Amino acid sequence: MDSTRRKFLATVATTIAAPVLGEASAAEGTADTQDTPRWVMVIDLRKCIGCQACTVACSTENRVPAGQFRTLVSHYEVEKDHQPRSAMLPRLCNHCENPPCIPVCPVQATYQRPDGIVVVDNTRCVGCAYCVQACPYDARFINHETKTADKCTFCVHRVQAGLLPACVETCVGGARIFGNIKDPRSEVSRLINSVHTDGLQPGLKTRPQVYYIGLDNRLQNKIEGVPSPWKRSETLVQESMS
Amino acid sequence: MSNNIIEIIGITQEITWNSWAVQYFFFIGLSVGGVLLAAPAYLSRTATWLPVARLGLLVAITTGLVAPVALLADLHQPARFYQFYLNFTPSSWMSWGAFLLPAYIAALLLFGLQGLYRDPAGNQRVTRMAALATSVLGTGIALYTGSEMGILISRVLWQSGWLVPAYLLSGLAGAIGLALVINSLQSTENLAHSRLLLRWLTASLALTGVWIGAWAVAGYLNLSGSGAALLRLAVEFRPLETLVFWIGVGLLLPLILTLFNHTGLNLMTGLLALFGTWMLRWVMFIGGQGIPKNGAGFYNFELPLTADGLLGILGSIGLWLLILIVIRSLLSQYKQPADV
Ligand code: SF4
Ligand code: SF4
Repeated sequence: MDSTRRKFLATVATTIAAPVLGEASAAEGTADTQDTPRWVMVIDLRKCIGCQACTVACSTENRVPAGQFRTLVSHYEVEKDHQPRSAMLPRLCNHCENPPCIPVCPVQATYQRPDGIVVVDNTRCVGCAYCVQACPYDARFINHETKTADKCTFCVHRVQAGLLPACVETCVGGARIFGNIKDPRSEVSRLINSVHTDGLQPGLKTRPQVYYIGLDNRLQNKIEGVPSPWKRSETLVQESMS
Repeated sequence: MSNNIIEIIGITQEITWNSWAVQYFFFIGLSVGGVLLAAPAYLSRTATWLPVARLGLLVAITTGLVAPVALLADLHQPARFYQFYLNFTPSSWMSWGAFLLPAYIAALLLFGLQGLYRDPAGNQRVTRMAALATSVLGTGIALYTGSEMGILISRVLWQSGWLVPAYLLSGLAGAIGLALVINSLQSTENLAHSRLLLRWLTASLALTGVWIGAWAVAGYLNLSGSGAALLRLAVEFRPLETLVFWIGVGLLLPLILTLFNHTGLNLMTGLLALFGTWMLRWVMFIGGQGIPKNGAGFYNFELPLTADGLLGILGSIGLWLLILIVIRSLLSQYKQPADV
């Protein structure tokens, strides 16, 4: 067991006993104590090889319908020193500290847990897609099967059981690191305090909690470039709906 | 476009506010436009205006009754609509809309009952109150529909104060267009009404055009990010749809046609004005969602032929026609209204 995982499990072990990781509900409010963790992710782009193992692990773990994604590694070719270079950008919900997706929900079906994880109560969601529109990161979608808003939950069901999110667990290069930013001894805190990190679209003041190491600033905001030739067609969407 | 970034893997984000949302904004825009056309006449009792105001009221009611159906159809879980009423959320414009809409429809129906059916019999005070209430609630509807989109920091095109007046002006133009259509389809077209409607249509289309032009110019001068996005949409992403269909066929052509008061042309002029009102919403919704928030390029949308697409659009128009027929036959059965 590597040290990251051991440290993570130690954090969970100390927090799992606390009621804060119990069943989440909107009614739990925002009670915040020092004991409550704040889960974040650090993605070390220097280590990401764009293999999409995380994409597959996530889709399998969370039974995301075909053609839809809670996480996906965007792949770009960028120019550096007059040479073409590959650049990866794993995308997922940023579990923003100031999430614009939450206040717009007309039925309060989406909310932020005290540990920072943004979730959707899909038994209440009316599928209006207002949150999908409001998220600047395209992290949300209307699940073709449940007909409700869907998104990355940092694998909250796994975290509650003391496990790592599926994408972190599976990451071949160890590029995805998950942990409690409130714990100064956690790997994520150590990295954030010692290495330069960036969030996506900082101008929007959403305070994203996915921290990238080695992010090319041309990829930080909306990409202006040649679009991908692979575009999901409506036919694929229709097929996956049927 | 900077060519030194090539997107190798990136997906097309789905359009989640699709044709039903466009239909809702179209019909509710027409309804508020109809109220704008009718309420001042009922409040001021201007005799020359009242017959045309009745047409406006008929437009407001018939389109107002279709709007909530389109809104419900836009939800992916329509049977859960009651959740809106169990969980009022002041931070969400949509939540305000869920309460405003039924209140507006109720006031509008009272206004309609008074204005089209009972008013000449005497109780004008109730009519005035209903007209006032409908106008206030209609203003709320115009404000919430525009702001619902305008507050989204994720979409630069929508994120602007330009949207509310654009919807309001084009909704008015569409309502006048529809009144013109109804008037020209009557067994005997009332030419005096057509003349008046054409004059107003010229003004409202011109105002809509000036507003859209100012929006684009603000973008060109770098004074408005949303204006810049609008220009980009028109010039780079959807040239045919935006420039030819919306601006050309939906705005300029009916504007030119209003200048000819020819009985044979009025129906066409009205229909084109309606098309322009619809196109503005189509371009804003479908074009707006086509501009990627993160990815490169533009997401094209193919209109499905199912109930989520073309069938839904035709169905909502059919529903409107049915409601028009029912209301008109009710009115003519119980009472011979003067002009409607
Ligand atoms: S990334 Fe999007 S969905 Fe996730 S918290 Fe931020 S705004 Fe909400
Ligand atoms: S889609 Fe669901 S979670 Fe999102 S805003 Fe609508 S009701 Fe809320």
